[in-house]
Order: sequence, then C-alpha cells, then structure tokens
Amino acid sequence: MKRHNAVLLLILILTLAFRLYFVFQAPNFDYEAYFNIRQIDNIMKEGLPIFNDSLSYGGRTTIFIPLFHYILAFFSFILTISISLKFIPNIFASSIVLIVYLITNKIIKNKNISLITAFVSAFIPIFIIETINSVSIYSLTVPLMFLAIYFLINLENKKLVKYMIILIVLFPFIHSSVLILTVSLITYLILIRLAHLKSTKAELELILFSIFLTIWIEFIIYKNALLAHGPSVIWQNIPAIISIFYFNTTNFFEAILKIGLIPLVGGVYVIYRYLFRETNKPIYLLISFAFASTLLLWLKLINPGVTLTILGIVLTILFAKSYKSASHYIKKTRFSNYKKAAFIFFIVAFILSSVFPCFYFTDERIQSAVSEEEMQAFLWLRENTNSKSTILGSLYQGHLITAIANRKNVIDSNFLLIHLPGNRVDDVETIYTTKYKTIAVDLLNKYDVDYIIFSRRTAEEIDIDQISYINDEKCFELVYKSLCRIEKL
Amino acid sequence: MKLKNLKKKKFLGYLLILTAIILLIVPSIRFFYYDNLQIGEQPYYNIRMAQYILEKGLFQRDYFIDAPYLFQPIHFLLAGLAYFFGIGLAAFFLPFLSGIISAVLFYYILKELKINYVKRFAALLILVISPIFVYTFSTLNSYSLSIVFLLLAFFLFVKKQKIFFNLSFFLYILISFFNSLTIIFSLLILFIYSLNYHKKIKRFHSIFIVVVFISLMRAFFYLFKYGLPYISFSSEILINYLTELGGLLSFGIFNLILFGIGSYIEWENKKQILGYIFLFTAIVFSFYFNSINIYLNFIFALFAGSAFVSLIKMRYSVNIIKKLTISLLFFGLIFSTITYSARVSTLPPDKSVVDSLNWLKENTDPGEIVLSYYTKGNWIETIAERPVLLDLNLLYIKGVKMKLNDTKTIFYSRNLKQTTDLIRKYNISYIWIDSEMKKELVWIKDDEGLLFLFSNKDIFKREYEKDGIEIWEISKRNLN
Repeated sequence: MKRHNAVLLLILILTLAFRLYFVFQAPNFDYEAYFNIRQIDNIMKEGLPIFNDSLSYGGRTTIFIPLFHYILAFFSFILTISISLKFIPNIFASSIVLIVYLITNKIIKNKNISLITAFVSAFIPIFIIETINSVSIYSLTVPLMFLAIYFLINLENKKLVKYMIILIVLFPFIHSSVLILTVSLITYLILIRLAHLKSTKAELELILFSIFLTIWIEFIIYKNALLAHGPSVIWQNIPAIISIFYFNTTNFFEAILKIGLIPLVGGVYVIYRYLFRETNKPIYLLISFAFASTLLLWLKLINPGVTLTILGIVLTILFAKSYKSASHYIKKTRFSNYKKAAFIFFIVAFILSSVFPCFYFTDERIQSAVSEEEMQAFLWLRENTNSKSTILGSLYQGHLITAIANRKNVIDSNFLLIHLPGNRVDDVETIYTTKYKTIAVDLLNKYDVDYIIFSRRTAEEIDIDQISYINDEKCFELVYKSLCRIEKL
Repeated sequence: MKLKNLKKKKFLGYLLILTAIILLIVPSIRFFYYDNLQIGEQPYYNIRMAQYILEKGLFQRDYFIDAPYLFQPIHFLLAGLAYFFGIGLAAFFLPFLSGIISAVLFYYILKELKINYVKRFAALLILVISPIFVYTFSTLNSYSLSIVFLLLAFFLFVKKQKIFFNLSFFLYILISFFNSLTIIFSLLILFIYSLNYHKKIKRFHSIFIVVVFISLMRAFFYLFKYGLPYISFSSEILINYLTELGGLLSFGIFNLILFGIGSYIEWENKKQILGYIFLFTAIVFSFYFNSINIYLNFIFALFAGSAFVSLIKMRYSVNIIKKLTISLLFFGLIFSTITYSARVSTLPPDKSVVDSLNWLKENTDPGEIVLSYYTKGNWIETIAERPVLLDLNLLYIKGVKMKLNDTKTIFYSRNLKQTTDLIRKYNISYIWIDSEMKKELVWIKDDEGLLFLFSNKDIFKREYEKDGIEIWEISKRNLN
C-alpha cells in the first residue's frame, strides 16, 4: 500500500520537475498568457478583474469567468506573480497523474498497471504543450473534468457524492470549456441506453443536475455576448480568416506524436472492444468524453489542442485496460517466459513514441514564447510613450501591448463583444502589407494609431520582410531599433 | 372534494393573476419609458389598417404600397375597440385580453382531455412564463386573436354536447378567414384528436370539408386576382429557436430541455406515433416559418409541464439534488422570461425613430416615396404617413421580387448611374436609414454601396441626422 503511494508520489514529483525544468528556461510566457497575466495583476492591485477594458481594441467590454485568475492571484500574493504563474498551473496540470491513477485503479483494479498508466499520462506531449508556459485555464479544467469522471464512477461512496455536487456547482464558474463535460455526459446517457445498460439513480440525478446548471450559468454569464453575436458566440466571434488557422486540423501523424503512439493504439483497441463486444459503464463514460470532444472539434467549437489533450488522457486510461488484457494473454502463451523482455520493449517504445516527442515539442513551445528583445520593446513603449497612445501590433502581440506596454491596442485575440472583428483583422493586415502609403495612413488614422511595432514575429505572422512605405520620414519616425522596430507616426 | 375544487379554482385564479402581471411587464415598460410605442413592425400595420377601417370603411387596396388589402379579423376587432376606447388603449387591451382568455382556454382544454390537474397547472405555469407567450400577447399581432379562436373552437369541439359542436363548427368557419398557418394547425390538431376519439371523426370530416373549401376558395381568389404570393423563409434557424440567442418568437433553453424530457416520457407512456410525426413535421417547418412557434408553444408547454411534474415526483437518491434541480429549472424558466421581457421592451422603434418619421411627415409632400429596408416600411407608412417601395407584408406586393432585387442593387451598388436609374424608375424622393441598417442589417462597412454614393452632393442631400438616423433627399433635378 505504502509502496504504491510512494511510487505515485515519485511520479508526481518527476512530472512536476520535468515541467518546471522547461518552464523556468523561458524568461517570458507564451503570447496568449498575457491576457490572464494582466487580469491577475489587476486583481492583485485592485481586487477586481478588468471587465471594462480601456486598452483592448481602444476600449471595450470583456466577458470571462475570473475564478481561475483569482486562484492564481491568491498564490501570487504568497509566491510573487512571476513564480506563481510558472509554478501553480504546472502543479494543477501535474495532478492529472493522480487522477489518472485513481480512475485506472477503479476500472482495472490493478495498482501496478495503474502506476504505469499514471506515468504514461505524465508524458502526453499535447497536454504539456498546451499547459506548460501559457498560464492556461486548461491546466485546471482538464484535471477537474477527469476528477468529475472519477467521482461519477464512484458514486457508491457517499462522501464522493458530496464532493461531486461541490464540483458540479463550481464547474460553470471556472471556464466555459466545462461544457465539453456536459456534452460528454449527454453522450454517455445515449451510449449506455444504446448498450441496454441502466444508469443508477444517483448517476442520472447528478448528470441531469450538472447539465441543467452548467447550461444555465453559462447562458447567464454569456448573455450579452449571446445577444450581440447570436450563435457565433459559440465560436467566440472569431473572424472566418482567423478561424481557419485557429481550428487548423492537425494531421494524423502529428496527432499520433502529440498523443503518443502507445496510448493511441491501446486506447483505440479498447474503444473498439467495448463498443462492439463488451459493455462497461466507466469505460463508456471515458469513450463518451473522447467522442464528445471529437464531435466538438468537428463542429469547430473547441480548438484541436484541447481535443487532443482530452483524447490523449482518455486513451491513456483506456490503454491500461489493453495493457492488462495483453499481460493476461501473454501469461497464457509461450511468451510468458519473456514477460520482462516484453516490458522492456514496452518501455523503449514508450520512450521513443512519447518521451522523446515530449522533449521535442516542449522545447519548441518554450522557444516560441515571447522573446527578450520583444519584451524590451514593449517595456520601452511603456516608459517612453504617452499613456493615451494607441499601438499597432499584430494579432498575437495584442495582449502584450495592453499587459506590458500598458497602452491601447488595435486588435487582440479576444473577439467576444467586438463588432465585426473581421474588418479589423483585414485592416491590420492591410496596414502591414499595403504598398500604398495613403491607404495605410487612412487606416492608421481610422484607428488613431500613434506607434507601429514590427518584430520578427510580425514578419512571420503576416509573411512580409518589412513594411513597404515605412521609410517615408515625413510620416514615420523610427524611435526604437533592435530586433524589434517601433515607428512613430 | 368541494374543498379540493375550491383549491384548484383558487390556484387557477393565482395563475391568471400571474398571467396578467407577466403580460403587463412589457406594455408597462413601453408606457413609462418609450412613450407607449408599440414594439416591432407588424403592430403598426395593424393599427394603420384599423384606422383606415374606422375612417373609410371597407377598402381593397393599401394606400401606401402597391399591394391589395388582405382581410384580417384583427383589424376589424381593433377598429371596433378603437371606436370606443381609442387606438392606443385598444392596441393594449386586445392582445392582453387574448392572453388571459387563451390561458383559461388552455387550462380547460387540458381538463377536458383528462390531464391530471398537477400537470395541468404545471403546463399552464410554463406556458404563461414562456417568452413566446409574453411576445404574442404583449404586442399587437394577428396571432393573438387567431390563438383565441383556435383554442375556443377546439375546446367546444372536445365537449360532448351537440350545441357546443355547432358553435365550434361556426368558429372553424371563421378560422377559415384567418391566415393559412392557423387554418392548417387547427385542422391538424383536430385530426389527431379525432383519431383518438373515433366518435368525433364524423364531426371532424364535416368541419374539414367546410374549412378546406372556404380556404381554397379564398386562396384561388387571391391567386387569380393577385398571382402567386411571395413567401420568404427564415434563414437564421438557431437564433429563431433560442431566446438566449436573441430570437423573438423563440423558446427558452429550459423550455426546450423540459419539452425534450416531456416528449420522451409521453412517448414511453402512450407512443402516439401520428401525433409525434405531426409534432416533428411542425418543428421542422418552424425552423423556416418562425410563426409556427406561437402554436407549438402550447404543445411544448404541455410536454414541459409533464416533464416538470415527473422531475418533482421522481424519487431521488440524493435529496439535495432534487431541491437544487427543481429550483434550478424553475428559476431558469423565470430568468429566461425576465431577461426576454427586458430585452423585448427595448426593441425599436423608440423616440428617435418616431422623431425622424415625424420630421418626414412634416417636411415632405404626402405622395413622395420613401426608400428604406423593407422591415422599416410599416413604420414609415404608419408614423410618417408616406408611401414606401416595400414593407414587411411582401406577400402580394406588385413585382415584389424585382423590387427586392432593385432595392438590393440600390443599397449595394457603387455605380452611380445604375443607382440613379433605379431611383428614377421607382420615383424615390427620400431615403431613410437607421443605425441598425448601418450595423450589419444592410451594410457592414462605412463606405459600402449607397453609403459611398452619398458623397455625391449633387444628387443626395442629408436633410436629417440625429441619433444615428439619417434622411437623405434626392435631388430630382440633378437626377434627370
């Protein structure tokens, strides 16, 4: 008993150490993280998040659920903001190994295999990429969704029922992505019905309550956005041109690498077996989760990263079942003498297909964080420009302009409640790409732009080497030059 | 037994008081904050027609648009009420009273159908707090009256005595003069009911023959005289179905969820295949013809009521979940209606629209044609008293397809000659634009189509600009 717990603790520490090793190599965060960082910073200073934002899009109202930001703000008071934002999301994300262990142990009732599965779950490349350096809400919601699954398959334990109720009530206040769980639960009810299985009373009650509560609270929170954008709020009002990249479907080979070959093969085999040959309610619950997230990706309602993360974890848990079956099978065959060799083969395959890709993708992600030169440019803007200035940057730099430079931006990736954001995206691209100064100046005047920032990232994002008309000294003055250029109008 | 009946009556009384309160919310907000202006476009058409009837008696053609007048009983009833109380009070009382009567009739129909009294009350409660009910009976639309007729005719049909059948027969003849949706819906409901009560099938046949005969005669008359009607489909299916997404004749999310559960439960109990086929077909059609939702709302309420009662009666293994689920459903239903009422109350037209139209009335000649987006036509006709090219009732407008296409060309073309040719063709004198048209209803960009051509000061002159509303005069001299 104690030995298993100690090994599990060791796996948890290893997982966290792996994450922290990488995350502390990057001096800054991912571009997307700066929206959350700004909100957390504001909570720490004023006690409230910024709902009426005077900087984003030159002034707008934002809608989001701030519980995650409050949690991180709380830890930031204790650990300082720079440490807590690197540390706490990674602790949340690492907790997945404990939850995977609990679920697996409940399903297959084998502690050794559960420990192996927990270890495998620590190296799901996509989950690490999505949560390592981006202060991502998914570092909290994904483990919590799997915790809910654990509670649901353990409803005979009255204490867990209480925890489940608390979790259900908390869910809608954490993030709208918990709707994935709601869709999964509906899928689960359909699936067990098709398999002629009966749901227990407590299970049905909790599922129905969870569905009703989540839908209602999300509708209340996003009421204004729903009325402003109609159904397109489901797609976060993302302009069509951006959504092509946002929902850019990952190719099959990349998906294998990001999920890991071993969990994929083992998991898919279990899905096949339990859909067509055997029945098992906890496994159906996990399959529903995988189905629902795939369906939502197909409908372009969640981004591929989140879907692959959920798929990765579900397949890892299901892999345990196939691992157990394979072990039993090997025992009955002549290969039983080569059990150790088979295990070594499995470890080698796992290292090659999951651990190496994990290192590769994580390193790539860390490299793509905001560079030091870019950070210096935004800090320069903060120190050397009028506080009412508007800065034009690319879509990715939007949150950096508001969070680091503390100035107004023209565009950022938060499109909710923005009227016709596609027009702005087009206009920003036109400003950077047009050869005609008159067109650019008209648009710059339209958005009241005072400074243009041009960095390596902008060049890559918009696919240009430089701004064609920028050398006209009558209109533009180069005020900052390093790897980033800042031009004053 | 008597005490139980008394309690039931008392409860019905409370529900009717609740109905009255709910139906007063929107008109009260409009009365106190919006100069008692009616919401939407259709009420203005109804008011104008009632006023014509009062002033000129029967008439055949609409004076402000090249279209025939289509008979609607509500215009005559409104004119009658307006004769005694004035048009403002009549426009409030007609839908309000229709709402109260509909609620009572719905309750008694369920009673006649032997539906358990708890489910009856639950269905009635869900009905009166549904967004569609609020809209139907808070605004002056033709459906409010047709619902009363439909329910009353059905209620009398369900009764056993012959005298009631005769009255029902007479009402169904009157229904033949209502819109086609009411006719189809009333016959289908009658048909499904009669299939379950075989004694009634003969009575149904006689009603069916007469109603279909009159309706077809009417349809052929219009067809020969005015040609094929122009039928437009609703394109925003999801928005039109969900209140929370901004739909008007739409269901709250919890109404839909409870309807889903209710229809499942009832299917398990009775398996009325034909009824379900009818319901499914009606739902599919309602995606494209939004007004069907007004009728579906009563059926949805019945199923939702059944689901609500089942959820209350269900034995829960976790008691707190029962309390939480039921309160959640109840507050969800109420919340949906409250936010809906608040939203609907702020719909246009408001004072700024009326001011601009009054300006048009005072500063232009009576015969001068005003161009705007077709949904704004009824306001211009009723408030500014000026003719328009198109209004919301597209059904029999002469050359409607061409007019719609030409309007589109005027709005979106940047070719001055093309636009001025069309303006000349229709003898348009003024263009009325509001902020809604500039924000996606017509244009997306500031310099799109006609907005770009407005920079030609020789032809277009902005005569009015206030609160986002613009009125442009067209210089006929420079046009030629």
